[in-house]
Amino acid sequence: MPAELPGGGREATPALQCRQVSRFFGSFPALRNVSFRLERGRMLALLGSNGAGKSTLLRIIAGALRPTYGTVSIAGVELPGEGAKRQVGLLSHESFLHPALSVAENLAYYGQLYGIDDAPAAIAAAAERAGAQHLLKLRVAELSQGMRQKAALTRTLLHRPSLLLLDEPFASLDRASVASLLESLRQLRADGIALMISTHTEHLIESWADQFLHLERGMAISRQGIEGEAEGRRLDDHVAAAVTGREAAGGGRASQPALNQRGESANQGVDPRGVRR
Amino acid sequence: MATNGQLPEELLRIPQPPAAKNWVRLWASITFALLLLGLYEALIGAPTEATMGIYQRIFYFHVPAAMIGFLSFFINFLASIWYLLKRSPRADALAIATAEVGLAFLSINLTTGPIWAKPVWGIWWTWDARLTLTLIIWVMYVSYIVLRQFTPSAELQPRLSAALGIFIFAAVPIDYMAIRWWRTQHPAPVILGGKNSGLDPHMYFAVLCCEIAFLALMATLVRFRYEQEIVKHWLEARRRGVLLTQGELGVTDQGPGIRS
Amino acid sequence: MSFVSLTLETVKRDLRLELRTREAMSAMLFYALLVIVIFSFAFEAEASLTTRVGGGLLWVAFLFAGMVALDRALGREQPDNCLAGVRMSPASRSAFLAGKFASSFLMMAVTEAILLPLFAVLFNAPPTAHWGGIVGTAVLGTWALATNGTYFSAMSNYARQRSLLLPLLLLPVSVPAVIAMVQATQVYLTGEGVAHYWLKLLFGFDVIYTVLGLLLADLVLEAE
Repeated sequence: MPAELPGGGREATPALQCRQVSRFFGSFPALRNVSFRLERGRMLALLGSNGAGKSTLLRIIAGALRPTYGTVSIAGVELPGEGAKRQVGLLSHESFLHPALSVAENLAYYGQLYGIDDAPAAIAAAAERAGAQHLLKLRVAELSQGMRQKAALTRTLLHRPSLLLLDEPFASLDRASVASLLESLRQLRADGIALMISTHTEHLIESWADQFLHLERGMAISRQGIEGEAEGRRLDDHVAAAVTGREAAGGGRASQPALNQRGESANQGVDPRGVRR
Repeated sequence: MATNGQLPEELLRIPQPPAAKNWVRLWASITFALLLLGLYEALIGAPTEATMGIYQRIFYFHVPAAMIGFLSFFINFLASIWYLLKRSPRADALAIATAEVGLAFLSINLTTGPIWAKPVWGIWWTWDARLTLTLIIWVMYVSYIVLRQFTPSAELQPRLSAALGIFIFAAVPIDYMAIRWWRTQHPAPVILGGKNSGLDPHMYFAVLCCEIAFLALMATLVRFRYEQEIVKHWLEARRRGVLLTQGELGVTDQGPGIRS
Repeated sequence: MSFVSLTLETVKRDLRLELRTREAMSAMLFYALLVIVIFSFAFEAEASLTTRVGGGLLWVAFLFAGMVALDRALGREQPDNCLAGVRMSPASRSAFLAGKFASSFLMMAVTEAILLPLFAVLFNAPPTAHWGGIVGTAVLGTWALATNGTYFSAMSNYARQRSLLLPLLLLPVSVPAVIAMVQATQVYLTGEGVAHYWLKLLFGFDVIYTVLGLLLADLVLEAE
């Protein structure tokens, strides 16, 4: 399939490829046959109501949960391969930082876990990207919500992942923190890191997401590859159309499956039976 | 289940439950006949032992129960290794079956022991080497069952119990040595006099009958429990298959209303 | 050498956390102290008792204290789900577990070092007691409990009632080690009998279960 892509060699291994990922908790299906791919350096907005399976999907891609069925490949390496784990970082509502240690102590330990040679330099670089330089000496327990988020982002960036997963990053942040987080994320994307962001506050990322994946009851009810500025058409229309199966007003553009040049055609090819409009 | 291209391979590879076959009934009947023969030999066929009298007859069930129980645990150990190597649901099913059946046989052994000991030794229990070892092995496999019950996730259970199965089995030889040394320092209060010396041929035959009967019983029970587990897996796979394909058919609005 | 450095870093981190939070050590000490005090009421602590069952009393106290340390070994990673952070990383699970094992061992050893003189005083240990032998036994016995206990601590970490499951898993498998440590201690306390084969047995137990634990570390630290 990669041979068909116009992009050539570099596009052949996407930053992330999920093939029919399903996850059951006991008998509850949290995710059902979710397939999609995300190219390097692109951004995917993960949408869906509470309990739709967004966090489960992100935790699976991060390697914190195993998929019951299906496979996840990160930069061409299948999880739980070591190479895959090195390429991915997850920012979730849990910071994965011990509250009784300082941010720097936590990060030093993560440097050890990821086998980073020059840990102090890596910590300094990651802290700068996350805007957390001034937090390193503080104990995690002393940090405010926004500061904790920055410290957690530093941890996520420490091992220079090529794919960054963010689970509701804007929840419980004040406006200033949201702005600075958005700034960090824009910068990361400009640096070529693929982003996957789950959110309720779509308007914050809608304008610069390349792809949308909408989950409901663990199923992907729409996969959208939208190039850059999704002009003229609001996301809600896409979603409404996906749910009702009808064409939303002002559509027409979405009826052409080949929405962009860079591989979303292959994205849809992975799962020809998926609900698609 | 409609063959659907969207079903995960793992679901399609799940072991199919066996069709009900006549040989199962035949096997169970043979087991039953062997048990009857064993019972007859133990209670009537074998001659009464000179010193212990009628009480000795419980040995015909007591000894084979222990041997078959230990055999069952040995299979559990092999199944645990098999699971770790292949991650096969069959291995896990065999591991559960042998642990539970082994525990049942060892319980028979541990109950018949005191029943015999009270009239012959005058006490229900003594911390004799063999008794202690049996009790410890029994306790360890109880902890194996407990682990399965405490572990909520069905995905984790096989993995963790395979690890514990290996840990437990590794303890058996060390237990054996420790208890032997411990008890030789303080010899057991009552010593069983020359049980194996000059065993009557008919007694030997009775023991053999019971051994074979218990072996057959163990095989039957393990087989049933194993198949029960396979059927459980298969039903679960079917159910999951339905849940997964429903999603793919696009029944988003009337999907299974587990959570909105 | 990343294996060794990760092990050492894990130990350092655990000790640092323990110094900051003091959640395990203080509870362990107090717990063991209570056990010793209760025993002295329950059994009329006098020299004859110590010569008869002193080894057993000492090890029951150590065992209770150790259980607290072992429960904390992975319980310490609970806040903000730090263990998930470890599971997501590509780090060697064996090295992580080895570090956890070493830190549990150290904490148990420190507690025992405080308890042992206390025990000797409160229970009137006989003057003939061979303290070098008792310390040696304590090292081997604590190793046995720490290596198995850390592994089972990780195993019970998936369960909802972690603290309840841990002793149910640890105690049955540790029976031979418990027999050996109690018997060896008894020999050294009274100066009667031979202890060296108990120590050999303990050492064998330690080696077997350390190897098994490190080999099978992935099983108890994999993603759920």
